[in-house]
Amino acid sequence: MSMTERRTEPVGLCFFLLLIAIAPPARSEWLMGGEAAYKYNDNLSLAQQGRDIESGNSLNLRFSPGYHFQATNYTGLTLNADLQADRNFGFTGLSQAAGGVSMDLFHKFGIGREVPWMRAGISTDWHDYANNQRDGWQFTAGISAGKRFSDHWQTTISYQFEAYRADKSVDIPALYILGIEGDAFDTDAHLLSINTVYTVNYRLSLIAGFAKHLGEVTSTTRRSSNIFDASDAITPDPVFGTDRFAYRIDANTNIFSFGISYALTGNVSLNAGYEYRDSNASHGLAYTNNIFSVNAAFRY
Amino acid sequence: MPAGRLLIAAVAILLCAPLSAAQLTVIVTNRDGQPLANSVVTVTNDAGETMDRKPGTEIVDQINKQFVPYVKPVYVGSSVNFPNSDNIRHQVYSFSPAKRFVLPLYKGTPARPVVFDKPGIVVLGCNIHDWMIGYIYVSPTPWFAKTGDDGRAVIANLPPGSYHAKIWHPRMHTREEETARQFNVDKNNNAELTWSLELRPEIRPRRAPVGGGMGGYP
Repeated sequence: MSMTERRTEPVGLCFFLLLIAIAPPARSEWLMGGEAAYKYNDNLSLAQQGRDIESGNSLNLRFSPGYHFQATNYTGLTLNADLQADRNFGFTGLSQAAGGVSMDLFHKFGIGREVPWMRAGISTDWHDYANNQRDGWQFTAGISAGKRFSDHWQTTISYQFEAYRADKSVDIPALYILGIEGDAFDTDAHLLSINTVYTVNYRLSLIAGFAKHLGEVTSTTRRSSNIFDASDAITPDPVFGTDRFAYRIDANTNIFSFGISYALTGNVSLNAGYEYRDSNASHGLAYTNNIFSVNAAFRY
Repeated sequence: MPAGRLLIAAVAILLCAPLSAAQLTVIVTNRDGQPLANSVVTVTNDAGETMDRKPGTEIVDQINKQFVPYVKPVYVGSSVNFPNSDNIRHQVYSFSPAKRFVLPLYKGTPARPVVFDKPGIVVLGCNIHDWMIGYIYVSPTPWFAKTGDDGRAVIANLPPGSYHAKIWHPRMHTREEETARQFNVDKNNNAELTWSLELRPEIRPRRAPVGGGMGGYP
C-alpha cells in the first residue's frame, strides 16, 4: 500500500463512521447523488501559443453518498463522501481517481419556496493522477446565497476559495529553471459567481451563469523565456509531451456558462452545458477555453 | 307478515329506491383528449337545497417525499390529519387564505388534525423539500367528487332538481366560476357532463438535479 493510499482511507472512513454515530435516524436521511459526464475542452493545456494548445475529451464519473440532518425547521446539515473518476482519452496522464468529504450547512430564512436561503460548505479531496506529479489535496471553502423570485426564476450568488497542494513526496526530478521553484501545481484562487435558472416547465430548465476566477492557474508551454519570466513556478510536464513545462501564474478568468437540463424522472436529469473561459494573466499572457459537456445526473 | 309479502315488499323497495335519487357522471379531459385526473367537481342545487352531510376526518399522507393524494377534496368543516409515512421529518405549511397553518418538523402523525372551516383552495408545501406540493379543495357543498386516472367522477344520490356543476384543476387556465354548467336530474334521467380543460404548464421546484448531481441538499 503506497503512502498516498494510506492517507486517504483512514480519514474518509473515520469521518463517515462519525456521521453514522451522530445522526439519529428520525432526524436524518441518507442521500445519494452522482453523474456521468462527457467533456470536451479545446484548450486542455491552458496554453496561449497555438503550438502549445491541446484539445481533449474525457469521461467523468462522480458518486456522492451522504447524510442530511435537519436540525431545525430552517437549518440542515449535509455530509457527503465524494468519489470521482476521470478518464482522459487523449492525455492519459490527466486521468485520475479522487476521493474526499464535504459538508454543507443550509439555512432558509423563513417558510416557503420563495424565501432566501444561504449555504456554507467546505470540502477536501485527494486526487490521484496517472501523472503522479499532479497528485495532491484540494481544499475548498465557500458560501452562497440564493432566492427563488417566482415559479420561473431563481438566482444564486457564490464565493469560493480553492487551494490545491501537490504531493511533494512524489519522486520527480527537481528542476529549477532560472532560479524558479518547481511547485507549479500548488495554486490558490478565489471564485465569484452568479447563476440563474429559468424553469420552463417541471421538466425543462435553462441555466446561465457568470463567474470570475481570480488567482493562480497552472498552464502549459514549450520552453519560452517570456512565459518563464512571468511564472512563479515551473516544472516539466510530460503529460503533454517531453518538451513541455507546466507553469504557475496569476490570472483573471471570466467564465460564461450556459446549460439546459431535462428531468427524465423525479430523480434523474439529462444536462448539456457550454462554458467559455477568457483568461488574462501577467506579462500580457492570455488564453481561452471552450468547454462542452453532457451528463446524466441523479439524486435520491 | 307472510314471507311472500315480505319478499314482494323487498323487491319493490329495491326497484323503487334508485328511482328517487339520480347521479351525475363527469368526464374531464385535457385539450388533447387525454383523461385528466385530480379534477374536483362540485355541485350546488339551484333551489338552495342541500344534503345532511357531517364534516369528517380526512388524511393527506407524505410518502416518498410527496403529498398523497396530490389533490384532496373535503367538505367544509372537515378535519385533515397529515401523517408522515416517510422515515424522515417534514414541515407542512400553507399560506392560502382559506387556511394558513404551519406544522413544525415532525415524524409520524401530529397530535391534532387541522380543521378546514373555510371553503377554498389550500396549497400545501414542505419547507424542507421545496418540490412537495399538494392541494386541499374545501368544498362549500356536500356534493363533490374527484376524477380518477380515467378522468371520470360520479356524484350519486342527487335528489331530482336543477343543479349547477363546476370543475377545478390545479393547472387549469380558466377560473372555476367560468366552468359552471347547468343540468337537471330526475327519477328517469341521470346526467353526464364533460369538460375539456386547457392546462398551464406545470411549473414548480424540481426534485431531479439541475446541471449536475452533486452539491448540498435540498
